Amino acid sequence: MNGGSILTRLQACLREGFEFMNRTEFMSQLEQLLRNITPAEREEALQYYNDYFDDAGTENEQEVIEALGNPARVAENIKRDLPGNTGENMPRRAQPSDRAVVEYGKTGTEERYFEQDTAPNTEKEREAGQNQVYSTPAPAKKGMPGWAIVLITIALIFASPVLLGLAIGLLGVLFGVLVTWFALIFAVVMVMLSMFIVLIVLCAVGVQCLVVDPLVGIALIGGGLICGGIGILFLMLAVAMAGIVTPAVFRGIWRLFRGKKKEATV
Amino acid sequence: MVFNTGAALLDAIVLAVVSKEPEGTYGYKITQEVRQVIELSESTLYPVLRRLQKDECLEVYDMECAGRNRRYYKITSSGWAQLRLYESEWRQYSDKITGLFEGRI
Repeated sequence: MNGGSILTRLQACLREGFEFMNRTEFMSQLEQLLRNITPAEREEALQYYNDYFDDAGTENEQEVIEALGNPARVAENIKRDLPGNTGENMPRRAQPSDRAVVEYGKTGTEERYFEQDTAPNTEKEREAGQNQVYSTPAPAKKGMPGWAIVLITIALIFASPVLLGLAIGLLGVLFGVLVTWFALIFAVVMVMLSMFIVLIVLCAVGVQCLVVDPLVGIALIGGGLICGGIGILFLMLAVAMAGIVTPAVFRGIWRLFRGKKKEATV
Repeated sequence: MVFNTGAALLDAIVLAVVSKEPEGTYGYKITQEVRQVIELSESTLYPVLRRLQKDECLEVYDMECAGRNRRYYKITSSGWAQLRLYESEWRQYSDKITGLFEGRI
């Protein structure tokens, strides 16, 4: 196995871990979300999606999960049509609310105009992620009761000074760490420069002293060379800190944020 | 695609796809075939199939395939009737709009 394939597999593992779930996780989440419908309906739906995964094949598993979106959305689509939500056994005609059932692919922007008033906007839903509470009234659905949302909102309002303080504090710490890091690099560069200056001065003086007192001259030149060596070590340290560690850390942070964003839109 | 597919049209498309297979067909295949005609998310089709099944336009049966049971959907006689209705409705609807576009109305 060569390095390339190891890297690819590692990337795949990371992606799975960070952004996607597997079929088992998807199905168990879906089952959880369908707890409050009749067992017959639940079995029916679960069998359909199990079949779907089987027919798509294991190699397409990840694509299917991505295309299905989050389990909450799938569950909502299943529940929307159940008796109790709409009239049972009624011959169905197109109703405005039915549009929500049809969700278009990721390409279109136009249909948003049409869907805005009836269906929850695709993008908004995706941002909201899995703990999404749908606005469509549905009696048999799992979700936070109204009073819980009110309580949480009130708690957030009261906690906001603390939260704000915490956020500012965190920003301050981050800024402090950043400044300290760059000060450290600056200090290393300064030590390096002074070592080189000492090297030049000592060597110059030592060469002049060689004529008067060779032993003192040699000692001075030796001292200068030692300082030069230390200077070179600091030069290496400075290059490592500024040229290798700093970009790597920044790249890491950037990737972290980008990864998170990607996850939110998937 | 700028036009929205309402529930009735989606029902009609699904019935038409299923009706092409006299022996019945299964969810994944139906999804793929519907997606060749209109854009729709993969989670949209299950409720439609379930509804058509409850309205007795489709019947389901399980058949063993590669060591597991696969659910098949097959159009019923009332499904055929519904599909015929949809087809004639669609013809009227699309004729009128085409006529308008071409200046005949």
